[in-house]
Amino acid sequence: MNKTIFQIALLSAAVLAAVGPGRAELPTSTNLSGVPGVIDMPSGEAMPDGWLGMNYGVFGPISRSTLSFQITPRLSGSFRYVGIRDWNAKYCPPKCEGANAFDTYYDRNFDLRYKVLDESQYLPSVTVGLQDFIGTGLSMAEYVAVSKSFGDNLRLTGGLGFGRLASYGAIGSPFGERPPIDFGNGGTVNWGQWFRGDVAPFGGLEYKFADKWVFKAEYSSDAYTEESTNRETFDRKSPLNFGIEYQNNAHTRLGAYAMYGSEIGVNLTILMNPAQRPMGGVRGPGPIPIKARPPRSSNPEMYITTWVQDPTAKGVLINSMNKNLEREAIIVESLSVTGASAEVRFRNTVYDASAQAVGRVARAMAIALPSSIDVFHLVPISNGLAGAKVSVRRSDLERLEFSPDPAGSLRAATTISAAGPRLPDATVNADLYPKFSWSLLPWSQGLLFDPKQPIQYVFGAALNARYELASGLFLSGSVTQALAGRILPNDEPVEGALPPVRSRAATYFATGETKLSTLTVAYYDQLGPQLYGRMTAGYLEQMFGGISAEVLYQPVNTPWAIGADLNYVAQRDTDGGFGFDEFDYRVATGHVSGYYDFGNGYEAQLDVGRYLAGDYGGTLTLMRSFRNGMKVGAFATITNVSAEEFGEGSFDKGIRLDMPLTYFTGQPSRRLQPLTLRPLGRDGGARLRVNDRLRSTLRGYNQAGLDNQWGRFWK
Amino acid sequence: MRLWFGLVALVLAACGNDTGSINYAGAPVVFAGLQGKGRAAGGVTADPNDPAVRAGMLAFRDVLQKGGQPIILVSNASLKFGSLMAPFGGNNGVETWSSTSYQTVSLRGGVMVATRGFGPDLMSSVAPGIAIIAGGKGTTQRRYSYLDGADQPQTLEFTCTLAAAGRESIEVMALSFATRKVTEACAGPAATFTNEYWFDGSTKLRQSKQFLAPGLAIMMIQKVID
Repeated sequence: MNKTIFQIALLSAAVLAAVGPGRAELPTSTNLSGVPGVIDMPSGEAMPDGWLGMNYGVFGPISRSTLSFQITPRLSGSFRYVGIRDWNAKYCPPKCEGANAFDTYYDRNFDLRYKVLDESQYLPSVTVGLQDFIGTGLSMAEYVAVSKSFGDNLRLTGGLGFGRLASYGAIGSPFGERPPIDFGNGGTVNWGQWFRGDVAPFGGLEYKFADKWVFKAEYSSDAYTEESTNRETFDRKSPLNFGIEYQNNAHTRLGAYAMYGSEIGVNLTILMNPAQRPMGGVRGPGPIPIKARPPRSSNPEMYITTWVQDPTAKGVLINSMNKNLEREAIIVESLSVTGASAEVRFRNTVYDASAQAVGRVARAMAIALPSSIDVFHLVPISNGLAGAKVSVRRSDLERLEFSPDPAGSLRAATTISAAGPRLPDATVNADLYPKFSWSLLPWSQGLLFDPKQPIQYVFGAALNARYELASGLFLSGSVTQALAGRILPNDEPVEGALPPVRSRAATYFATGETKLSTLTVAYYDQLGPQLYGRMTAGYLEQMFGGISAEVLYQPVNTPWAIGADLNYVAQRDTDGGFGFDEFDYRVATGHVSGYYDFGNGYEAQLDVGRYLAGDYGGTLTLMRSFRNGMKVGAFATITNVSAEEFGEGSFDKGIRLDMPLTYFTGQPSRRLQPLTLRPLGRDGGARLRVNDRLRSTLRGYNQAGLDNQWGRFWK
Repeated sequence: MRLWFGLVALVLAACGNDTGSINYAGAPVVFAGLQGKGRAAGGVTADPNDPAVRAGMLAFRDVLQKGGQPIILVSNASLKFGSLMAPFGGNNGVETWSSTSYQTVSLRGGVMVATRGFGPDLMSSVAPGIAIIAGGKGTTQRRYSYLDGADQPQTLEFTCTLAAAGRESIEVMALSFATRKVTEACAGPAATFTNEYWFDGSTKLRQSKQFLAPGLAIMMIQKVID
């Protein structure tokens, strides 16, 4: 990190007084399982609201990679990938089948934790946790953990564990016997076991003995019965663990431990706060100042309106505005003038915050447009579609630029309404079409959780090109070239009864070096003031090609929107070429989708319809969205495919992150990096992927999108 | 048992005319040695007392003078920023000055009320007028507004005390000026800092050091060409 960026990071920390683990004298730390805890045991605490934690903990033969998210101030969820080495060493050879087929056993865990009580002067924090509550249940446990700080340097934790956390030192079974798990294909919630069977106490302490350094000790109630007693992957000699941790800043922590009297452990934690860009406010060149008009009383000649009759005037003004906007990579598409108001439609290719693009165009209008124009209507256009109209008075811009609260005062005087179609008198920028654009971007593709090799990836480059023929009509394509890395093809027979619409992903990723990723023609049309349409045809994604049609009704200022898509597609060959012969599979698929913004950053999406494998059902996606554009969420799809037909995992589910590039670079950019993490990629509940769906095309171009980052108007 | 996900690398290197970002190098014009700091951002070392360096600066000053427009020199050590700025616009008694790479400072009678293009920008402020500051006594209230990493406004408040700090001879780009110095010591929950002002007219600023944001060095503003 260079010094400037460090200083800026310091500033954000100082200005925001951001709630971070670094602020407390003894910060909340995570255990080897990536949840708040001591060393191997959980604690009663929670991470700061909205934070994401990435944790890698390893001791002896056992490694755990965990992604945790503090969903609300009290509720958190974790996804964990566990690997146990030497799994079959005791039995194989000669017995190398079934559970002993693998040298390393991999398992996936989901956890949920709820903090019942916040720590106060006299009361401790109390958390109830469910560990590995879905699936095969090898790590399954439930617990109640209590933590209390004493002074600035000491915290004590105690708790009661069930299931795995009662496998050592049990003191009784207060709620009856724990029934055996019938996990079937996994993926089912094991309600019947919760808080049943033996209960055992655990506990530990954390002591800060120097700045940034913490000593930890604990008594573990986990016997590691399967790993130690049954399979002898390590020797659990003692229930006591000790270690020290070093926390460099609010975001990284490293620990080393002596585990169970026989093993060394290491834990690395990286924490991030999606709500706050690490570098604070965005960088990038400053805007042109507002140009104030001369007073009408002393300069009446500046306010004459006869220029409106000049047929060439608007074309000249468009050119003048575009000259001022050239360095912003904003292009004015059209200008219309009605009396004392002007409407400018423009495309924004750079600014993640639509308000900043609107602010830049407003400044260009103040410079270029004759003084007689007093109302500016600004309409951002994306793929030919108009989402919102921002109406501001020019006199307000002049008056408020250097007022004490320019953003708040201007917003109070601004109207955001539906954009509607382009006005009939509009003059359209003559230089818009045809327009060719291209980019060469780094590219990578990864495959996680394959038991043969849990992390596989290829790196390379993607060449993208787009040829715009008319408003909303594009030819576009993308070719990828692998340069390094390797992914193993999936050549095993298909498990389950469904057509292999997604389970051959590895083969798609592994085959060929130069591949046609997409090649499509797309047409976008504004069907009504707030009704949008799209048709895309061609090679839509790596695995499917065909035709896709979509409509979206998205009012500019409601928390809800509704849409539908209908697609007829054929499965592509795995080599990334033009063929459709390998699978000979065709399907009609489509969904009706509803979107709802609950406010306070929680959003939901429900899709109901027919999936790629011909199965019918619905997907529910819940997202936490942050004002800077970061989103973190989870989804689950239930279809009419039975758990047996679906295969391992029983139903499709996963975690989704939408990460604006701006979050990481601190520079304005429209690029958004979606990341979907599925514990299992199978064929049931699979959806077609089409680039530039209507919802993402219009991202940020409604009232909520503008208001979330309104302060950027003046940036 | 296949599990997968697709991820395009979050790598910044990219080219083309449609990369979704502005290629902004942010390379400010750096004038080594102009503030007597010895070492400037470019790593060039120049001693302002070296006669050759002085002669160079005076020659450069002549070039600027012949340009016929006012020039200020703005620098900030923690941003490694140092650049000449020329008038960029004026509105409601506030003059905005810009560097060639569009970092801007907005001054009301010399008092910095806003900045842009630096990243941790002063988005807006409430500040005393230059006449009050030039008076060199009494207390003032200041309010500074920033955007945080979620693009939300964050406002800091300060109470400041003005004091006359005597006469001082200062040097601005190799020319000496006899000035009267005023300090403004500010304290608030987020920071304490002192603004310094050097007047070479009753309310005419020749040089000032003004607070930009917590955790950052103070902003130095010098009037090079009137």
